[in-house]
Amino acid sequence: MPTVTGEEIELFDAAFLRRLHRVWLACRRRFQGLERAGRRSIGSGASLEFADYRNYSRGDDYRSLDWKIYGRLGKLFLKLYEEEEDLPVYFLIDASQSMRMDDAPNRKIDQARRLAAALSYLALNTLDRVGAAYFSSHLGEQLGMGRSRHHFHNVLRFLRSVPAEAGPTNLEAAVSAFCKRNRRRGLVLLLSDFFDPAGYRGAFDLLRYHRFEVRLLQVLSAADFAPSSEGDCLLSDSETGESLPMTVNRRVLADYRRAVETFVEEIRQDALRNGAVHHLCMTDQPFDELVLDLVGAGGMMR
Amino acid sequence: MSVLFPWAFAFAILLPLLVLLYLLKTRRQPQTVSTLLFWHRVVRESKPRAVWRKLRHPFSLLLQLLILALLIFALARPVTEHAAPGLTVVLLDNRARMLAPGPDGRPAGEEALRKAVEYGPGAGHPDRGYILMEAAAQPRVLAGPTSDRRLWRQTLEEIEPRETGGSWPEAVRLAERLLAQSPGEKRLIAITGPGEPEHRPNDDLFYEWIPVGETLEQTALTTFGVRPSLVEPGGWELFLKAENFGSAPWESDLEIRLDDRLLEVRPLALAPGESRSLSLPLPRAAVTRDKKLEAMLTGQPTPTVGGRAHAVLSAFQPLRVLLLSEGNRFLEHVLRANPHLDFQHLRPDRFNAGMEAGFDAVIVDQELPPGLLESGQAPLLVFNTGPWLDVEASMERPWLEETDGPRHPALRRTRLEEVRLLEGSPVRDEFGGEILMTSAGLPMLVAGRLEPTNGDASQRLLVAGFDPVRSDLPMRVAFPLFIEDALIWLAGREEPVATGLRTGETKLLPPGARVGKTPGRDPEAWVENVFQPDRSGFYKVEGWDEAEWLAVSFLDREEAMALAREPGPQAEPGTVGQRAAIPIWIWLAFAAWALLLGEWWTYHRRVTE
Repeated sequence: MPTVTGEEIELFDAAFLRRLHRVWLACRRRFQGLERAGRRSIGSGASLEFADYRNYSRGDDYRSLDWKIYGRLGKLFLKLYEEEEDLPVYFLIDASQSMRMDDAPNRKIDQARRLAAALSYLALNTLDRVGAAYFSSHLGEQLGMGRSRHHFHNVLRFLRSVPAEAGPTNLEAAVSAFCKRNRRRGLVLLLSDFFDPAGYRGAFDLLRYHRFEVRLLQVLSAADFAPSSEGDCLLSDSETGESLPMTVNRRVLADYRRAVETFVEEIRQDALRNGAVHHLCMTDQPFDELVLDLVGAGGMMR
Repeated sequence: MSVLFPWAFAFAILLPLLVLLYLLKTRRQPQTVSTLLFWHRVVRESKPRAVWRKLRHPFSLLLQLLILALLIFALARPVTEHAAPGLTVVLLDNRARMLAPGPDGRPAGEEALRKAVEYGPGAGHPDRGYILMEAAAQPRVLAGPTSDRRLWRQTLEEIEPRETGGSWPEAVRLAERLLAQSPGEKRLIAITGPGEPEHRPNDDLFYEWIPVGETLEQTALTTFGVRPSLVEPGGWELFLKAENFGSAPWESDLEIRLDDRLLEVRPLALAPGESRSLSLPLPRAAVTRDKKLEAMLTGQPTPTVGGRAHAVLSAFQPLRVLLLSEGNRFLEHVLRANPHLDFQHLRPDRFNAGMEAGFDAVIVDQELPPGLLESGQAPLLVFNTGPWLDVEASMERPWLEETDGPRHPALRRTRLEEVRLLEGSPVRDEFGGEILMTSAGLPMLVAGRLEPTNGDASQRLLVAGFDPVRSDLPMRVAFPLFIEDALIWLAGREEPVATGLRTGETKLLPPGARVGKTPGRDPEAWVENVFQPDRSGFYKVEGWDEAEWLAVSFLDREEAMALAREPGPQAEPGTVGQRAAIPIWIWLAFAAWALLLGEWWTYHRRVTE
């Protein structure tokens, strides 16, 4: 279990867990694909499910030879069986300062943690393996992979503790460290606002290079679309501390909103082009609705 | 250009204050945002607007300074002057209506004085001349032309409120004559009572009127007189008339006092527009030494002016009057009943020229005896006869109207406008004289002079184009008063009789006589030669055998009506004439307002989306 220090908030109380279970039941009713053992590996394995034949080659296991075929045809064929495997699901949660604006529990990081908890609950119920990690300018300590339902308690314990350190966002550095630590391919759910001055594309490309399936959950708040009232302001970046004097009026606010919407659309288009999924998650949306949307939209869970 | 109120520039001290506030306000409010990524993008995309953004705040300050400067200039009331400095006449209404209290309970006259200070010297070109005029019983110039502000103030401080009526058109005409002599710009500033002035000057001068005060509900005594009693020797009879000019019923008491002793109290209720005449006997036993008789309307609302009337029961040298008539019971009765008259009756056919000598006045009723005009040895009061009448133009049921101008002594105590005539003949224009009453523009009562053919001195003449018998005049209280006043004027005996003077009337005092300047037993100053009271009351008389006291009453119906105009919106100050264009200060104020609106729209407007 990783030792994560940081603020504790009671985000996952009994009510949350009850709602979570209701979400799971709703998902089961709506989406049949969420039944257990739903995934098959591309390679052959040792299950009871027949897949194909192939010619025998030296070194193959004799136990897999089909002697009935040999008796009829006089040739050695090997029986191939499908191998059922679990899917590693990684939750990468942005814990930078920009995710911590506003008051708990309405911060973006709180919404990201609720989503991570809900989705991990669904994944563990389908016998997938779940791991999680916080990141900001670098990758923080990681919750080890687990697959049983009991692992969900570890997930919650991990999500309850937010790292105290909240530096600027550096997606590429964090993803790079993640790829080095986790060699096994799987599904990566990146929960972030993607407010990285260096951009998000480097991190995205890195995950694709390491053949991870990528799901981008962009968590934004209403304040991200209209962050300032009108008037003369000295705007300060929450992560870098950089200041910018600005006279805000309706026109400027409209321009700003347009810029944010363009940014969100760019991410969505990038994801579509590269076979990934992007979903915009607002902090003022109930998490259970969001989860149903995410699952229903397809591609989020297989 | 000069300014009316230079003190307004003291507000310029607000300019640095505005700059200070601007500096304080331009401190930007710190605000932490998630990221500046998009703000930088907005800044990059809006570079063309960067110049405006930089100038935005200084321009706002500039606008605000400009607005304040415009307001200060507007307050200073700048005025442009023509080449010649010009002359300003400030016409101050000082009639009784200015005694009406304003909203603050103080007389409107006080506010009028303040306005007169504002519009006096110092309010314009330094070389401009100012004349201060007073509109009262007689319009008169109080000061000027002057540009001395101190003298102006001093003159205004000496002005006393007057309880008199007066002709406003006459005052305006005098102001016009004064201004006509000025070569430069001509201004007439009229500070009047409530309501728009009843007369405007001609359009070739700049005219501004400033109404002050408020109207009142007003009830007043409009007639008051006494005469010796016909019933009780030594006793007296009192006549009075009270009128309600207001729009609300009025209930109160009428108090009669003799030498400050209450003689009688009578309830008096008057509907709006109602008038009531009363006749009260004064028993001989009630008459005391000073014989100062006072009638007073009490109750609420108490009339500001006109609620009191005064008379002195004084002795009077009887006038010798000759009545030439075939028979007129009303005239005979009135003349016989008046103890001030020593009356003789003669039929016209028995008259011989020269018989009128020795009489103070002759009354000719219906028939002019031959020879009377030729001898012309006595003043005449002629009713409905003589060569002065245009009989062919006689009218049925003519109504009488009083002409403008000061009241003639013959109508001193009476108004004949309400008298109903059955018929009448106008007096010919060629007669000349002073027209006292008209009907449809034609003279019906004319005062003139009779020029005897024998070369003797001219005599006074009063011609009435109607027969009193064919009217309701004999039924009125006014009839004996009119006859008495007419005979007194004809005889040249305009002396105080029992009823005394009216406020604003002028009395020539006999040599050696003097009258107290103010009412009361111990006046602070005395008046000799000419006495013109402007307050009602009892005035102490010295050096005059006929009376010890002089009674002065208001009894001005027109002025009482002016005080009782319908309450409602007051007339707004206004200007007419050549300089009636919108004053500069209004343009300045408008510009300031427009800039203020633009500045608010650009910088401070908040929109709820």
